[in-house]
Amino acid sequence: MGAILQSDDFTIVAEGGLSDSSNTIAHSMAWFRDKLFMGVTSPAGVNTDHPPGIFRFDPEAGAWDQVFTTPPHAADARAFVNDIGADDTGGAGGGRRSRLRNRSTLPTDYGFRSMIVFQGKSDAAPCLYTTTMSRWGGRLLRSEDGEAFSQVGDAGLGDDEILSFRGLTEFDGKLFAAQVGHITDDAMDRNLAKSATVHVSDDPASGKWQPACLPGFGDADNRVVFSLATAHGYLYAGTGNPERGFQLWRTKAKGKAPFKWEMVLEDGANRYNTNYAAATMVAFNGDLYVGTGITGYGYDKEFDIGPSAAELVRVHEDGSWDLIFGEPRFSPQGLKVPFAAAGPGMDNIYNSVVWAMNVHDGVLYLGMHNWEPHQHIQDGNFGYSHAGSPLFASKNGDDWEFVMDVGGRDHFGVRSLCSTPAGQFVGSCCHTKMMGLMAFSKGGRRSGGQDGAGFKVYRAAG
Amino acid sequence: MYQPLFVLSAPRCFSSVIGTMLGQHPQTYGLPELNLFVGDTLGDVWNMLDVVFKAGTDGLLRTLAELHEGEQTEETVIRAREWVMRRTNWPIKRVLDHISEHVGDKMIVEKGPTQAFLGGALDRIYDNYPMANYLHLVRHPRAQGTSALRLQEYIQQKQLRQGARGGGAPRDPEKTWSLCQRNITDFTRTLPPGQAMRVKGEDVMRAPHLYLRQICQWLEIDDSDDAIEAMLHPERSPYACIGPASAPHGNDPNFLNEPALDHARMAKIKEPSLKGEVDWRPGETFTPVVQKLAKEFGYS
Repeated sequence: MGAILQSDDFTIVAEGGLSDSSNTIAHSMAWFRDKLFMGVTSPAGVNTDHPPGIFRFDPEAGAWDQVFTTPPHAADARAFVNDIGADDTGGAGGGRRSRLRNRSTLPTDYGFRSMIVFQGKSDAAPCLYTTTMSRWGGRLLRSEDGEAFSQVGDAGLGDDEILSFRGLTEFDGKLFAAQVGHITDDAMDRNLAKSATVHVSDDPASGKWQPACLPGFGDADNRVVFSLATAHGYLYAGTGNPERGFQLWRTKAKGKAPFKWEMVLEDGANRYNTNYAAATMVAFNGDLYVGTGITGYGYDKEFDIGPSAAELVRVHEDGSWDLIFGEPRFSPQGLKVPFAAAGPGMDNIYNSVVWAMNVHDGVLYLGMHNWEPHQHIQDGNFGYSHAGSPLFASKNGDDWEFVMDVGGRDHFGVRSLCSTPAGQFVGSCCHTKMMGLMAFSKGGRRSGGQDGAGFKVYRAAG
Repeated sequence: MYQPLFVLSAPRCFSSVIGTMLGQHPQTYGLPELNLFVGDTLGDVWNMLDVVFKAGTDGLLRTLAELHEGEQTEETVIRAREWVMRRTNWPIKRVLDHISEHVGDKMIVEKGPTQAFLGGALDRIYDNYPMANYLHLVRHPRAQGTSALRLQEYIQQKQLRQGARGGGAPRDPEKTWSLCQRNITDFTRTLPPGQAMRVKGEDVMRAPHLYLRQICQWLEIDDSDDAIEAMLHPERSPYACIGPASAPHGNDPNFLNEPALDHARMAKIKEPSLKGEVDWRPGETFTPVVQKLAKEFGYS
């Protein structure tokens, strides 16, 4: 096990969203053919001059190049669709739609949500797979060499009302993904799924996928599968459940899909719907760590949940669990007191989602979604300062250290972490333009304009 | 020296039985409803209760009678009332400290639903006992509402039998539930993690061993089987019976009439649904505020 990385171990290797500051999220990362690949997201999805794509970082040269650019798509009804949950940003309402109506094309994909290196049945060698977010159905892209990318299978895996897939995870020789987001010609919901379903394929290059579970695991209140991870010889799936809180399910994935699953946790680990979603999961030191979260700026408008901050729960193979940080409580499994002696959000109400976790050099890293800038705008404090979003680390899962603030004034979170032979990479999410629009909608103007817009990527070599 | 435990709840949330159970632990002393924190001085409290809740003084009178003279009789209650009348200028903390001195080296367990819906009472508790522990006891709003309506009906029938005029339309129990829960959650959110804990009354009633033990662990008092066994006998509390005629209550009348636990009945307690019409507003469902809070508390 190595030492916990410190802030001065990190250098910024990308900023300003690389090709364009409208690239606000360093969304997905994977190490492939001795390079870092990164899928970026531009949530507005309107920049046809610099559409989002996939970038490649050569650690030897310290240089990036763009290896895939999403193609244009004819701007039909879906280009102008109402974006549920985005109406307080000032950027997705009627003004935005009227601007869009002047466009003949939009980028086919507005982002790249998940990325993995996987070798399926018909792949001669490990390939890079990535899932996109698209108004015309989320796509699965495949690359054999990191240079050429092609779509495999139909958009939305055959259902073009599925906005996206996330949580690409390999287990038992098969590739799994969870659908997220739902779009029709009338509305787009980025957070909920058309069906809270995990999909599986042992040959993604063929484009053939099957449902790996019953919709919602048989519970209609499970509105989406938020996260997938492997631990204890199982595939785990964490749901979003606005009525009773997240559920955690697991399967050995034996036999024919849909597989037999067993429920491990329910009722949001007894914090109920305040623990709306199992947002991020990772295996560490023989246990599964489940980071929770809530959609929106710490408050889910659609279901009137929150404001609340995130928790971290540790699940053992026998299904018992520990609270690492969060709200002390009574439970059917006994008194739960946080091992880290910290409350929700690591004692920060603005840390509303555990947004990224990974293990690097034997150390567990955890990055937060932090919505403090939004609160400043709501309060009319347009000249606010904000250090960024926190990255924490732990050698044993119990004792945590603050590593650094990621980003800067308008950065809302640590969105991606990737451990590689060339070091640990950290990607951020930045909403400078959105904050400017929100300030404008409140009758104010922020100083600094678009300074600092676009995501950043940090690297700690070694 | 133990810090007090304050049980915060809306009315009709099992607070009498669970508060009394908590007070039967060998290291605790359970009090009936004192309603002390509705004013700054004993005189304020007396005047307030005289207006809003006449029976609200019963608990304090019974407590003073019991602690001063070792028994609750008409005579000792009369002397307790005289004791109060001579000390109307006492700050409420002095009154509760006086009670604590008589109790000795035990954690006092205080509960009083009145305090959850009268403005300022919770802040007054905290101002006087900033290091105290707070247990937020909740119950499903449908079951609580049904129970509250039944009690209102019982009281009205009793008043009618005594020659009083009818009390008019029953109060909407949902308003009381949401007001109390909002007051309590607004208050407990200001506390550091762990100083306030929430528990569903239904959970404690269905699985008392499991949840009482956890509450003991939280309070850092003995959680042995013997301690839990003692807590399963609320009927042994000196306040778990109808008191003298001039101070008969201090707890829920149903509890005072039948204080012993009925384990078979408790095991069958179910949580109703949040969905569907409510009895007290025909054709309507729970308000959004109630639904939001109830889901936070684990009801569905």
